[in-house]
Amino acid sequence: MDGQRWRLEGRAQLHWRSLDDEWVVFDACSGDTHRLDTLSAAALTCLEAGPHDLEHLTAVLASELDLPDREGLASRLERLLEQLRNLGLVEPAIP
Amino acid sequence: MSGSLLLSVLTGGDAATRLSPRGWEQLLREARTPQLTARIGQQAKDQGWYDRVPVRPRRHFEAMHRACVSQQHMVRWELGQIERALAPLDAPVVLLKGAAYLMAGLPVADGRIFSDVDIMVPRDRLQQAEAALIARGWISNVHGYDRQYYERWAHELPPLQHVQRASVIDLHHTITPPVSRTPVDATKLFARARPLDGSKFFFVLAPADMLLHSAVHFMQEGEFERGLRDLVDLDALFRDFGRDSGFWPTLLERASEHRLGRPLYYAVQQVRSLLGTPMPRDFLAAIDRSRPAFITRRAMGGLLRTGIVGATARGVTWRGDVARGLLYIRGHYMRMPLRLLIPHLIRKSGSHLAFLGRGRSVQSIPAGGNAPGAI
Amino acid sequence: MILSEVPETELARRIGAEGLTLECGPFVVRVSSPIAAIPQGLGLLYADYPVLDNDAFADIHIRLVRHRRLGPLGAPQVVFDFDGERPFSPLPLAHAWPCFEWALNWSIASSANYYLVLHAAVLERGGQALIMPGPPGSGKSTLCAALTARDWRLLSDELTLIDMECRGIVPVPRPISLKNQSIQIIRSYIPDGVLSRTVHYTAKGSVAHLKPQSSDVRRAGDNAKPGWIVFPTYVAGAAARLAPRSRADTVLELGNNSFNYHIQGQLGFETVADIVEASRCYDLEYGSLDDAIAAFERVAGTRS
Repeated sequence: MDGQRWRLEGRAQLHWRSLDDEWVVFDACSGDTHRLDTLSAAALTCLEAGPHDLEHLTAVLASELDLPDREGLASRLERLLEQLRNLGLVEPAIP
Repeated sequence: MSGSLLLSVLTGGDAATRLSPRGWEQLLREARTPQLTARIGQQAKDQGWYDRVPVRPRRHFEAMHRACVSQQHMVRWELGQIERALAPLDAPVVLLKGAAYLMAGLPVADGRIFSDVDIMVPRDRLQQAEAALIARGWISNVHGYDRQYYERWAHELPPLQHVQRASVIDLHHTITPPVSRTPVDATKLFARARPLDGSKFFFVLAPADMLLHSAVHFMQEGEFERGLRDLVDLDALFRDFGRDSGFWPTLLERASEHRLGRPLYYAVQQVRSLLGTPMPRDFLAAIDRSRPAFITRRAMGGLLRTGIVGATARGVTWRGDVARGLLYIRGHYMRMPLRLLIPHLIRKSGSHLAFLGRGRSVQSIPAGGNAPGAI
Repeated sequence: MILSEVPETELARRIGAEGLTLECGPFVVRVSSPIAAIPQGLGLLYADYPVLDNDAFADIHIRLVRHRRLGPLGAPQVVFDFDGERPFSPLPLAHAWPCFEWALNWSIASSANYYLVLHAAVLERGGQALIMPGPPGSGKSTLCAALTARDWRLLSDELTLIDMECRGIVPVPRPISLKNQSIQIIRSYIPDGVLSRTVHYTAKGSVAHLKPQSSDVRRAGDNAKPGWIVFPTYVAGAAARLAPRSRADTVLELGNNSFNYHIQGQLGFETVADIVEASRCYDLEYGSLDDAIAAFERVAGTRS
């Protein structure tokens, strides 16, 4: 996982709707609909903009969302990336 | 045989706009079984009379159009998954039938509903391809004796269904069964297969081979409930490929090479008789030379026509039933299990996974959806 | 003309012959059957529905025919004939009326892909829709029936139709299907309600249908706007508890409770998101009908 960069799945076409403090997103390519909490939405939005490795993603989100516990955040993001990968939303970015 | 309204609309352009309300109703009922509703809607758009369809029938066309479009999305996505699964195979993967029409952007794909994805790999890679797909979540529901039957007699493996998504792949190694009276040498098919625009991975059959496959399928698969649908496909393929004058002699050559002259003859006879597909005179003269003995031709022609049109007429006539039974026997195939009969709903519902429980960051509903359970 | 204006003998004759054409919400339904229970049931429960000439376009055809189990001496049965196909197994002839209602449910669900169809009851007050998704057993049919007697207009007890062009909720009022204990509960709750004769020993137990109110049938052309989405759960003995529910979660639940969300693509998604965004979303746990009705009054009060 070290240095492994992640990005939005190549064919995903995401349509976002914000509802209170959560998000729902529709992937027009796969036809799947997902519900995301704030952190997941932020992470996915980040990756939608460009590839990141875990460290960079942690730094960006810690700063954007004002989350002091970097280690805890990193470990949570690592699990989240795995979930998102299983859902076909993100994939390893091959340089 | 009283003329079928569906046939006259398929061949008659905007004459449909002069239908009475009961006429529209009858047309929709006839289009249902052969799954041609979206096709008629597409034809109306192509020919410029869609906005003259009255409001109520138009809702039915609109609904089918949406279902069709969403299905096309699903198939494109599935093909992406299949590509990932089969990329390590290092063998050509040829798309067949609906998947091929869609990805090649052929006019026949417009308004066409289909259920399974048909792909073809070389016979010596069949097991490997199946294993690669199974590793990615497709499973085979057919085991034991049935499976042996498939492997020996059929030209395809038992269908593979994905555990989560319910998408079905039919994996072929040629376009006719090896022990059929008209076996086709697949190496020739692969030799002439063409890459797709916009895909570095999949191939499609050369036009003549694609058309011959459609003719073979029409004659041999036994799905005569969809017989008229197959003829509509053939008509579209003939019209599209036939614009190239070189296509017709090539088609004859290939039919001869593959020894598929007879299926081609029947297909030509039926599609001209029911849909009036235009064809060059010298082609028709040449094709006529493959005709079977007089009695067989008349009997087959009559049987075919009754079977096809019987399926579309309102209510099923007894004679239509008998004709289809006989044709099915001629098809001598193992029939796929009947799909759920909800008309026009394409996908069987996956038992969608409850993706994630409470407290996880992401919850989802996959594209598979639910079947109506209104009871 | 409405059905009650057709003389009884003419009704039976027409249904037994060329069929009777009536309007049911946005659908036109043609009914034909030689079975006496059908004109009887229609006469009782569909009295207020508009009847059309038989040369009108019909979206749906319900044909119920007789069938005999195991040959001429077998038990008499009824079967739904759908253009020569039979989607369901034959039922005992005594179940002809429930068979009609189930056949119509199935036909509407199969024909309604122009709309986004949710498996949910829906009622209206003040122009706003109360959508109640719920699997069988949530008690939504009983709730729905009770609410119609408490100043809520019935749009549907089972199938919520959403027009994706205008985001309106489209009424398709039908007799409300009640099972087992619900039948007696509603008989008590709505003393002047009109109920079909209870049919016992069906696959769902004992079944009866409550006639929709005439005014609700007359207003079948009035769409509703989104208002509230409430997920009811019956818990015996529990006090009524209304709790707000996550909207994002409601979007997923509506998608999961839909018959055709998966074929509507992005349009379906935007429609559900819009409906949810414009609605207040709740979970309701209840142990008594009165408590639930009171809770819905509180819910209704949350909008101006």
